[in-house]
Amino acid sequence: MKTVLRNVFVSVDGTDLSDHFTQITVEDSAAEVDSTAFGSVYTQAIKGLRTAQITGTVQQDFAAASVDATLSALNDQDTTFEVIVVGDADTTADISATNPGYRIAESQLLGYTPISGGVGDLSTTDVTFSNAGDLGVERLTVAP
Amino acid sequence: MSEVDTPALAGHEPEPEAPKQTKYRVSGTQPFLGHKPGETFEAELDEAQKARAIARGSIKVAGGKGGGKKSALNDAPTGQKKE
Repeated sequence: MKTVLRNVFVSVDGTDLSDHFTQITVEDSAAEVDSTAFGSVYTQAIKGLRTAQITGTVQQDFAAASVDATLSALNDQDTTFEVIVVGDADTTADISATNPGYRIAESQLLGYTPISGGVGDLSTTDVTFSNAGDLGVERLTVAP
Repeated sequence: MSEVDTPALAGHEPEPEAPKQTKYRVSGTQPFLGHKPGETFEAELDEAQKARAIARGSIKVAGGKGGGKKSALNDAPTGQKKE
């Protein structure tokens, strides 16, 4: 069944920030490494190092335990944390084989812009959760 | 490698395991681990995650089942343990 993104679930370090995110992208890609050699008719490439990250746009909120409280603390620390994205869910309990979740179990926030915008703008900020572990992006078919 | 059971030594009975789960209350404005603000839940959280969640106000310890390990996270900013 085709899907329209209406009820995406975004959890950052256990905190559900779904109602503040307006855009989310889960990326798991590999570098293209040229392996063409003499005698080749076509250029050839093999998969190189992989990149896993979750990027998104979030509406700023300075309330206790909300967006700023969560992201600023994660930006300040060196330890990793978990980010989970589900296409249509209220909680991770809604994860299933036909509604998979995507998780970076060991992610980090390498930068944070608490305020950015002009007069009259809704305060939003773009965030990138980078992979810091060996697992990269995991595809979950059951709740973790 | 297979595990080998070691018989308990006389007078050195293994102590019963303390309850691992702690009761928390979601104190922030956002749901935490599927629990809505104001709800209480029991969970065995990773120590680092628990520290971060309490520090930012997402959750508060609502009381365990007793006999559990005390956490310095409930303490005053001085870091001194409660008696």
